[in-house]
Amino acid sequence: MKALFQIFAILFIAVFLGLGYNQLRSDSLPMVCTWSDDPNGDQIYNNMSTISIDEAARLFKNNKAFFLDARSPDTYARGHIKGALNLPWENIEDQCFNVIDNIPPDKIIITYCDGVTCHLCNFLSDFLKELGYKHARALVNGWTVWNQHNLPVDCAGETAENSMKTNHKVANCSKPKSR
Amino acid sequence: MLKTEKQINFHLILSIVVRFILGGIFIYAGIPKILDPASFAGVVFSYQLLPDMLINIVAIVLPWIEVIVGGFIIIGIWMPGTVLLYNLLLLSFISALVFNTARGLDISCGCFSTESDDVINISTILRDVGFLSMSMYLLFAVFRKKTVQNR
Repeated sequence: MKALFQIFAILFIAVFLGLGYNQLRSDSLPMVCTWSDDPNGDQIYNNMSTISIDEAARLFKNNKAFFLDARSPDTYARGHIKGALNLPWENIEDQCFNVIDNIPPDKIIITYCDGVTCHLCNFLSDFLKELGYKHARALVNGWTVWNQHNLPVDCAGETAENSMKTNHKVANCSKPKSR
Repeated sequence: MLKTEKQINFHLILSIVVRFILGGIFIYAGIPKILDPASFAGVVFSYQLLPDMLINIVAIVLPWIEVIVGGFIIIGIWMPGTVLLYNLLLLSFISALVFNTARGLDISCGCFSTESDDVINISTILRDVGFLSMSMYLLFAVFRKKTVQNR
């Protein structure tokens, strides 16, 4: 009983301090947001540029863009956009320069992962922009929408050589401190 | 069976060390989220567990709960409630991680920062289970009232 009272007291203090501090902030967070109407999380990531599936498909067909897969190597190996290179966000410090070294900075890079709430592609495109790739753009929910449009993919078994090519070197590459 | 003085001293020292570790973890985890509640709200949303109306409130209040609980554990204030709440929070976090890992969501953990470099996976779950084992030891110690000084 005493413990329950203490828990409620802690929660009360936390609510008081949290709401109070939020009110004092210049960029205070509203109490309620319609997050579901904004599945891409643009309330936070509104400074990140994205690309539509139609535009991505057009660039793919005209061979005007490089595709980078931000998912894990295992997921990538099971299937990915045809010709896409794997640059998993979790290993970006080790692998980024291996993968992007041969891509000129003025080229269009399209990053993707999977799921409407997956922001790895956004993080990756923003990271690339900080490295000077100003035309990096994220294809939100990329793998799913790419398949829904029946666009070309590489499936498991066709990718081993490609993955080995991109993983055999190691280079330093620091993440930017801010997104 | 009576415990020897050596055993009591061992548990007393161990519980103090555990208190500092657990308290430090929650303070370290809470401060970045307090400083950037908008990004943390994005992390909470990405877990897809809460309705819209609760996301921002959780993002605003939860980091303060972490910091207060962490501070209280270190100082030794309201130990029964504090340690019980610590365990409940960890169980909630682990449940959320297991649930989202099982359904294959490729999202940021948001455990110690609002950055995206800590993607949820089995290692993040095991890490939290390790913390839970320490906090359960502390819970046991507190409710036995033998090894931890309440204040």
